[in-house]
Amino acid sequence: MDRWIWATKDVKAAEEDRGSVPSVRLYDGEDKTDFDQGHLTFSTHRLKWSDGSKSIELPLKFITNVSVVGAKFTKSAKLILTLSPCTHSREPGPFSQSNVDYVKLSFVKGGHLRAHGLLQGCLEEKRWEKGIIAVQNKPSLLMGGGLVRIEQQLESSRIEADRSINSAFKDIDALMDKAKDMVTLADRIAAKLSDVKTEGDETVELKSALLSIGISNPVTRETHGSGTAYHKSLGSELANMLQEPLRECGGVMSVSEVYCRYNRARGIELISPEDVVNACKTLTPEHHGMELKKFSSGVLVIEGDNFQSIMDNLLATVIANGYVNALALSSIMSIPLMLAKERLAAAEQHGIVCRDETDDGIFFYENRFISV
Amino acid sequence: MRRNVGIGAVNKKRLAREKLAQKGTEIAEIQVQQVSQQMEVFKQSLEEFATKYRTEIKKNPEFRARFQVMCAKIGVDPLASSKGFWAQLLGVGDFYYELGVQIVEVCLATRPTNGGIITMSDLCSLLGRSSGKTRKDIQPDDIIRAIGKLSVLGDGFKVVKVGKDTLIQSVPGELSMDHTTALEVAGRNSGRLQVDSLEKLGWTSLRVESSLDTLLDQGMLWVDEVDKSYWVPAFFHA
Repeated sequence: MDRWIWATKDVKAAEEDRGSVPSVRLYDGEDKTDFDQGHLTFSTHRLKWSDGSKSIELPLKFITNVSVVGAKFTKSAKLILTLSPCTHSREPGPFSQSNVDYVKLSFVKGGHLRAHGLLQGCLEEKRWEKGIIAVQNKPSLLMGGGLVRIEQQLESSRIEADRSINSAFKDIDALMDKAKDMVTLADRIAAKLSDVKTEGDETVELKSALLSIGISNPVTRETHGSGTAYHKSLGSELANMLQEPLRECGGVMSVSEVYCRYNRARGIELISPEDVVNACKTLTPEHHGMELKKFSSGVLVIEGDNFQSIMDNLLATVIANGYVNALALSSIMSIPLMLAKERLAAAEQHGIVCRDETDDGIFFYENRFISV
Repeated sequence: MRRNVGIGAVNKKRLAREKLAQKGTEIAEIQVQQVSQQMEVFKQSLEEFATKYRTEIKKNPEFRARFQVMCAKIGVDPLASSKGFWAQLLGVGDFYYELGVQIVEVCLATRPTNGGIITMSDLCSLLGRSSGKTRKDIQPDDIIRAIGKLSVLGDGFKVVKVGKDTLIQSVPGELSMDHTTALEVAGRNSGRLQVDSLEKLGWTSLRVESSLDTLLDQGMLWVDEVDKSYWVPAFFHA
């Protein structure tokens, strides 16, 4: 009972009364006190007891546990409040000290269950810790109550969002911990695999498994990046899809464009750039009518038709126009500028055209040196 | 009588080696089994995780970033294969691959103007505009990761830091230190490249000319014929 203090008139910030129960007696542990037949009021910050002449209150922060004892034949229903140790700097109260750390509230005229509900609500809210600023004036408590409630909601939704993000992060961490063990084990095996010379069935399985976990091991990439059945079938699909567009583009299309077209057509369950490249690697002119070509600058394209016929076409265009630059070629042949540049560079490497670098740009002429 | 020499010893050693090799393969087999088992278990946890967070990945950039960082920490690349666990169960792949497609499209569309370099901020805002409401929360981090994957397509997609700006390059070829310095100078001046700013850095006129020529060739630098001033359109603010 020594945690109870004489009631103060001031209202704490954001304090609200939640309800009250009449005819309550206070017990110090098992002993009855003189605080009998009083009105017990539950607020968000404290428990107030008053019988008209005396008023005492108990800050809710001292309450660590609440238990219910039902009514018996001669005894009324009670709530037992377990309290945390008293802090020394407290305001004066009716009892300077107590041997026990619990008090009982005896509900002579009933209402203990309602009281329990009210008290639990206030305890869970812990509003005395939050310190939300609220309207102080009692008369406008109605309006203040509305504003406060809105602020409460905002606050609780912010806390909820925080909590959910934190729990999401915790979930990620937990998942990653599980993955870590698996990954270290797999890594060790992958390292061993690079030593193993024979290709057994398990190694094949393991390598594709490693790739599916996402371990980018150079070993898996080389042998199983491009060779798998998955990439082969993807390649065939790509080839089917690209027949028409490739013809429209003058027989050449950059792999980036292939990636875009295919994923746009697919809509969901898109494929990664790596898978596109690996699928393109499986294309052959014999089976698919197109193949992947890599230029010295690193640009990757899908080329349909024969290289020679493209070069013949190019040469014919150059001769017909006298000379071309990349821009002119791209518009004449309806191919992207980048590809026009690359084709001219490739033709130059094969000795079909010669370049002339001027201030106005680079122009290409038929290579007359070879016919000399 | 010397020990450990002679046919007997050789045979013994050979037998021992064979036994060890056998043991080795046995152990390897067990390990393979272990990994497969662990993978099954992990798959289940991932499935649980996925049911909770599949939409979160698409909606929440903070969550995405954290997820990627954690994957990198344990040495896993969730975007490596579209048939992998991550892509299939979590749908991480779809988000980044779709972003990749949009980045390629935006870069291709703006290439005639900026020659194949675009500022990160321009790219972000153009991406936000292109596909409506779900894309408002694209972060530079997402773009950088998507571009990391696009680089394999061979079109030279890379992220280039020029001073305090981040540029995305979508044409092949390396930008040398001189080129990036010239771009940075232009960037600080709202896109206008003052030749004397380069000369103030101590560059010879030959050096200036050579850098400007390359940038002009690429299309990243434009010259105003009237007053012979140089401009980098990538830094023009929309």
